[in-house]
Amino acid sequence: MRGAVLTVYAAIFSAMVVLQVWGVATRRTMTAGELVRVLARNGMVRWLLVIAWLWWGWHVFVRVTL
Amino acid sequence: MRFPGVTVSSAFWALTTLGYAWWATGLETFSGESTAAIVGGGTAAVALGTWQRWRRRQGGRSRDVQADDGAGRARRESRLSRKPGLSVWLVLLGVLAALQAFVFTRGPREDYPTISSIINGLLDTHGARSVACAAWLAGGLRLGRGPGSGRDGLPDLAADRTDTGKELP
Repeated sequence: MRGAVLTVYAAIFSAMVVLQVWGVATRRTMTAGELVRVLARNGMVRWLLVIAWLWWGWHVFVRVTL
Repeated sequence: MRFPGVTVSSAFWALTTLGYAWWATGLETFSGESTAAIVGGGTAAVALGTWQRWRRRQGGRSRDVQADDGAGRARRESRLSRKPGLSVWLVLLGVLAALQAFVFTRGPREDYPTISSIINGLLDTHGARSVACAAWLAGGLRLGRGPGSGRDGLPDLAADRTDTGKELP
């Protein structure tokens, strides 16, 4: 099962990388940064992003053991 | 030896951030010191970016220049909304969230790895964790600085208004 899950993860992240590179190279499609910018026009979403970003740092660097 | 685009100041801040990240990620897991170092450092990075954004706005620009900036930004925001790709991003994020929820509720992490468990495996050395933490702190600074800090500048946390004082549509 591990292999199947990792394959799906790889497919999703590969698609995201392709979309990002395509957006940066051609400037015709939305990049990840532009997506965040569009979503964060709402003030509440903007602060949710900051909270999520802080939580992510805590989750990765405090909660997880080496 | 010189590197194009690298100033003494930027090199100093990069090394300072890396040193801080090295120290913060070396603290005992789940401890109060570790939580304070990471969450406090991240909050300080966002606050510093927001302050830099505010200070840039307060820079001695004329009202005409500010009005041009406001109108130009509104035009750019409007163009941005019409760019294709939003739905593709949302579908990919939705599939990722669904997969994460699926594996999270299943058996052992060895068979059903989550994003966190994969990242934990990738950042299994102090050096890798420090670099990742420094990058995370730099992201917080960028998040605070808002649009205009780069091509993919993130939103302005200092205010909801344009430089002209008008609300964006």
